Amino acid sequence: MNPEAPHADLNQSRRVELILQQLDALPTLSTIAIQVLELTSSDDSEMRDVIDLISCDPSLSSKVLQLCRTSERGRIANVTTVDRAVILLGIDIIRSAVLSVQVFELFDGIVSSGGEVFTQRAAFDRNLFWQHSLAVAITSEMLCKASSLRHHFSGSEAFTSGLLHDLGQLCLHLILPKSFDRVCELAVAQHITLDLACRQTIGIDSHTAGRRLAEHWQLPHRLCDVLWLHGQPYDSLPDLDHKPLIGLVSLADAIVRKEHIAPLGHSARGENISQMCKSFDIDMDTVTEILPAMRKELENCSKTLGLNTEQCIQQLLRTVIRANEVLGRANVTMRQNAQNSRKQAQVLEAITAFHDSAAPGGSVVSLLSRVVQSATRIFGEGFYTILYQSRNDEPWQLYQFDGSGRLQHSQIAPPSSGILELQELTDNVQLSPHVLECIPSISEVLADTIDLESVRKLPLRCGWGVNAVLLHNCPIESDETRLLLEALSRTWGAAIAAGAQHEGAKRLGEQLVEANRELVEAQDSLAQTKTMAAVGELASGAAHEMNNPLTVISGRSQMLLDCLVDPEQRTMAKQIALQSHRLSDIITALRLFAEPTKPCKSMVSVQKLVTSVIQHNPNKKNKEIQLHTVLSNELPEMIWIDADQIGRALKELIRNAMESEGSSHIELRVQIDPANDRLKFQVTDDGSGMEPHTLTHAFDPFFSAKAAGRQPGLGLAQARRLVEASNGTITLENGSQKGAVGTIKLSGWRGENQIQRSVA
Amino acid sequence: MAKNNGTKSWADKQVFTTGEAAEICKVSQQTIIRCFDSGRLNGFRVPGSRFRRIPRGELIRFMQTNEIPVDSLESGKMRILVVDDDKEIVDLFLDVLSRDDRFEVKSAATGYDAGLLTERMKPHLILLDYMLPDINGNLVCQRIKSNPNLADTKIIIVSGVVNQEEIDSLTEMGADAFVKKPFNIEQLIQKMNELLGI
Repeated sequence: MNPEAPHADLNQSRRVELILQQLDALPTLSTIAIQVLELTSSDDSEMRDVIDLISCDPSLSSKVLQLCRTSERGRIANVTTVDRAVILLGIDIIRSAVLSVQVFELFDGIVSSGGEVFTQRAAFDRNLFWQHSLAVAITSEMLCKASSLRHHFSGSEAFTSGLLHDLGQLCLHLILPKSFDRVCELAVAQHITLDLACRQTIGIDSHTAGRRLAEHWQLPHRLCDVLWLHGQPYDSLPDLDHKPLIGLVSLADAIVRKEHIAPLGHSARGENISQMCKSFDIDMDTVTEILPAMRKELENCSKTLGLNTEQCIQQLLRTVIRANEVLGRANVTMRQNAQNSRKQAQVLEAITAFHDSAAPGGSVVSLLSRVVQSATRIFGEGFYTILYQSRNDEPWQLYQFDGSGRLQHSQIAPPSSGILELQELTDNVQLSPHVLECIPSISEVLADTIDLESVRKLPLRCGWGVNAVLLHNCPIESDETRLLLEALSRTWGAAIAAGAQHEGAKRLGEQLVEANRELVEAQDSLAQTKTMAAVGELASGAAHEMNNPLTVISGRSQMLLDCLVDPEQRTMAKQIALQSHRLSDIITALRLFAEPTKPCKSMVSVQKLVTSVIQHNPNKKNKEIQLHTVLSNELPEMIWIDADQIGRALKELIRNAMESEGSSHIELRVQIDPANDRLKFQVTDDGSGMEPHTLTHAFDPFFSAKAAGRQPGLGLAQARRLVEASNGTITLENGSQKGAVGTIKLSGWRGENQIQRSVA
Repeated sequence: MAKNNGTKSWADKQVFTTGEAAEICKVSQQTIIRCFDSGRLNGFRVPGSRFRRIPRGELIRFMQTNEIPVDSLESGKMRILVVDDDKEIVDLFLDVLSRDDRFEVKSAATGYDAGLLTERMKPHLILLDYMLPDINGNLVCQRIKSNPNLADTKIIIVSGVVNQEEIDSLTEMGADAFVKKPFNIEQLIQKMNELLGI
């Protein structure tokens, strides 16, 4: 058989077909039996023919004689001939007897030949089956005779119908003994009807099989329908002539099953017998009355047919014990179900409470706290710790809670190679010492608060890359509550994941704002860079275009100077030359302002730098201004800077200080900023300080607080460009009491990397 | 016949007769003719006549081969080439330098002219404007320095805009010095003298 799943339906139907074929292959009734049936079903048959036929078959003859002796109609012990027996019993009874005997012998024969199947203790008890069938047959006959139904059909037909009503089960058991045993067990275990179990397991039920066999054996069609339709509600039966017969057998079947005369799987299905009785105008008292008689008759018939001659009381005991067993099992199951239901209700309540308490938009930490609170509701107070990871590449975090679910301590779980294994272990098993060894960082933290051996973990299924594991010490029966734990873990996990997503979205929003701010700043900076580039381009072009005429002016004035003798005229010529050079310097300064040359750093002596800066005194007129320098002791002798550019910036600061109104004393101090190890040049004057407006615009190109007497060039603006080119800062502020303080701060001045740079 | 001693200089002459060559080399005219005819001294005959003519370059090569001093061909002055597209600048340089009789000055306004003139006059020093209309100063530098015949030619770059990066690249190309426009005349002359060794 092809076990492939997509063909399951096909296989099923194919299997059913095979079963039906096997049914057809069962041996047919003997020719004598068929002839007897044919003869007895026709009204004008000769009694003589029937007698002759039966006489031909010795076993049939003996059974008929036996039947005659045990029959209710007359215990005539001296009936010794078949013809007397036939006359005495009547055609109907003969027909029933022949059928019963034939069927019984037939199956008995088949069973004996394949006997080993039944050497084992099987769920399907053949003996009980026949007992049941006989009981149904007797009950049917008795009910028929005790009610108005006797006008519709004879008691013997009711007997035969009752006897053979479950023939289908017998043949299914013959064909598929093991499967049918399993069906019986399944029906008992799952409390379903045998037919449903049959359909689920084998594909067809015993009714269909019985009908098929009845057709194969060419049984009368009334009998066929009994085999096929018995057990269905009376009202739902098709409107047939023999509908009462089918209903009667169903009723007898129900009564007998209620009396526990039934094989495994045939226990009472809870049919309403009194309701069924009403359909046939049968009194419930009648039913009660015929039961003892039925049991007695059953014993007799069993003997006649050679069935188990067990005492009635023993049989009753057996069936009662069997029924008790079933009842006991049902009780256990129900108790378990009730227990599970209680737990489920508890968990559902906890989940509802959790949902009520988990405020939307709460932080992940508050959610984790709520998870633990929810857990304490279900498992009781105890040790609770959550390991949480907001993204797969983020570090794990450890949250420890007190007994009532309040966060006590949280920390980043130190990275550990073993921590990922926590995710992989999804079963709720006790963490073994080995597992804790894999995450020594965690076990170390937990060892102080809890006995590590008792720690269990419950992975919270979050999804979306969020991972969380609940560590606890609560004894949770894993088998019964696995599904509930799964539901809890998913509920909690989903809430945590949602919280993490929410937090992530919030963080993204913040990052967006930050990015926007940076973008605006970058745009400003870009705009400034663009402006500077434009100025640079303009200055570069201007430098080239203007320097040529300036060269001619300068050159010609110098030549003129050589020709002149008059001192006044010579001075004028000199001035022409000088001013043309000055103009050229402005152009150069503008160009350098826009495009400062890259700093060219080298190791220079601080002392030399300072000396060169103060030697260049731009304000020679103000001889009274004192300038002195302070070099901090911690300064190394050599520093790594662009001495030319920083020197020029310093000169600008000093010039600014000298121009300050009323300044008479200027100090240049060089020291190291202890906060961030930056080199700090500070130029302090004792002048009147600077106006706020001047301070704001001091570094703007061509800005001057003074209305006249400005310096050529770009002064402080140029200084700022130079300092910034060295990644430094330059600031101007008013002193605490008087005067102004100009500060240049430089990092990377120690030149630790100068070797790499020079190599690069 | 022009003499070497002042009234007329051989310096500008590009083609010589056998008589002039004999005078410069201080050998007989017959010797020159013999060398010409044997192919040791290259030259050409005037079309339609038998007159021999010797180009200046060939004569110098002949004199150098035979270890005859070439001083007599020189004027004794330093040949200076001024290259600038601004006529006023060129005029200024011509006026400034012509006051000094140690210099013999010629000028070119484009890189192309400068190349031609350099080939012909083999200047001792070039005052080169960095920004020329057709070709950049660094390329002119490179051409001159890669020519073995001009190995001794000094180059001063004159520019209104000189930053350190450009100075570095021009030094690599062979520039000897830089002068920023506008310049101080005295300092310029001093720098030229340093380079020329006078």
